[in-house]
Amino acid sequence: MNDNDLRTIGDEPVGPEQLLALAERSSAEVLRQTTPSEVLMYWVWGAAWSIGFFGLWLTSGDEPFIDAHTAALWVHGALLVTAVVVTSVHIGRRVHGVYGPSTEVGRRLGTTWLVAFASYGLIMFGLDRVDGAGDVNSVLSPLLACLIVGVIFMAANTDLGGVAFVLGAWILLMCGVAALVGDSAFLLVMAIGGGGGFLVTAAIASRRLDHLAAQ
Amino acid sequence: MSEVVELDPVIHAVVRLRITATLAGLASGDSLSFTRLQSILDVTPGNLTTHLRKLDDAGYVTIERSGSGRASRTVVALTASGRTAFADYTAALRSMIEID
Repeated sequence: MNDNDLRTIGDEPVGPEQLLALAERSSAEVLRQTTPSEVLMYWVWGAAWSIGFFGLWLTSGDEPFIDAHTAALWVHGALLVTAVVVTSVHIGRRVHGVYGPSTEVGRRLGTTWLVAFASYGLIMFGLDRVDGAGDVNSVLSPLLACLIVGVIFMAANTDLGGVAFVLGAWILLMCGVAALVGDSAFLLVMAIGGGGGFLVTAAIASRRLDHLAAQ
Repeated sequence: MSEVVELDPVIHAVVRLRITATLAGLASGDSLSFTRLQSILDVTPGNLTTHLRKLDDAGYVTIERSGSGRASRTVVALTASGRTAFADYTAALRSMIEID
């Protein structure tokens, strides 16, 4: 096909409908290829939180279901690191070669995550020096991380009809509930409420995208 | 009396229509590197250069080059007049569909 020949596209004759469809497909395609998939990120973080915290719950308490708490801590850490890597690589690939205000907002958001969790690490290190036994810290550590995640999700609020805003609020609510429940049961709240919140949000966001695509 | 709808000849070519629509699909003020645009459109560098030059001559896109050697970067963006021309082009297509 000659690139300038608009009498046909491939073997199909070209009319205004086909040209309009081509334009709309092109605009939609660049958006699809350059926008990070929030649905994918919700699934990844939902799986990491659900499996990780559930594993910790199974191995915590005076009479744990499974006596392998150290292994569960490693699995939880590995899942969180995997989620960070998958999210970072995915975002990096999608925004590669895109410049301008939208990527600048993304970079600032990424920096916010980095600074917030660096500060979190320093706070936990400082608290550990004060509370040597670590009982308070073992509860505070996931709850403080949960607080950071909830606040950033609510504040960023960039996406599909505000589902991140609602998810952030839900995560903050779960932080509060988990803190009130205490003991090792707070880990179950984090697994079902926190991780489950991510997974439900992924399902809702996915359905919204399908609905938008069908329109 | 039937209305005659004019289509902008600068955009009215498959590759240039795809370039314009692709750049218009980005958020306002955003731009794309030449290599990413080429990858999305799946066209040869020569073909893309030829059509970008025509769009550039019409003032529909800006092409900014920076750096040199392996660190060089070419970034393409739709101008305000390019965005308006694309909107007018798609509006003209819609009116043709309605007339039919």
